[in-house]
Amino acid sequence: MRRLFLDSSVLFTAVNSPTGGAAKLFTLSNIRLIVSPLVLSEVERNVRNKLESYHLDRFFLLTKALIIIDQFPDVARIHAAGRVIHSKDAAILAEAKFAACDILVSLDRKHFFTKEVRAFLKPKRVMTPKEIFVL
Amino acid sequence: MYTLIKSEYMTILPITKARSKLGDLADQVQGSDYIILTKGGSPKAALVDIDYLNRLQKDLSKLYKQTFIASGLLPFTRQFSDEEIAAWEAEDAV
Repeated sequence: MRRLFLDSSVLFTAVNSPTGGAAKLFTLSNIRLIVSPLVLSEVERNVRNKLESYHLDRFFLLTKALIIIDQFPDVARIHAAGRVIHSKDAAILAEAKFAACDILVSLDRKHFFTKEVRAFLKPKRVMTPKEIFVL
Repeated sequence: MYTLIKSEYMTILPITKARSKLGDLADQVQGSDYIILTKGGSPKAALVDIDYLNRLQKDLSKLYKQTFIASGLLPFTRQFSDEEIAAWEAEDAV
């Protein structure tokens, strides 16, 4: 069973938009959805600041379907990731690189879908939620 | 005469003027009506119905009862911009 690491863009969008591909990932039974405490912290912070209170309820509901790995940011790993991606995304990329997962799922095409990031993540792949459906 | 600004739910009053009539003001605050006390023209404190305050605190504790936010992780997190949220939504459309 494939293990998908969700970045903050995917989890936040799944909360924000129940009809999109990110939300539909939560309906698939043949995959495992993984996040790190950092992703949860970042998404919850933004849900509280940017969205409505019912979105917060939805956030907690969705987290029940997630596997939360026991992994915390490592400065050396973030520094290494920062060589291939914008510094704002380095912490999440580092988390995905070292998490026990097969695929990093992201909606951030501009920063996560570059040649450099793909090479950095190998043998893991980076895909959008929509691409997961045609696997 | 002092400046007293009233809106639907709150009254704004300088602390210096409120001091002598605190008892009356305490009787005025009811439900979600409250009084903002200013010092040097800036809001400094509020006179709030104790039941309303208790209810607010209860709601707040319920809201924050469950959280994944860890203070040690916050320095590694960032605030999303409206532009990137819109871009993610567009990418996510099925």
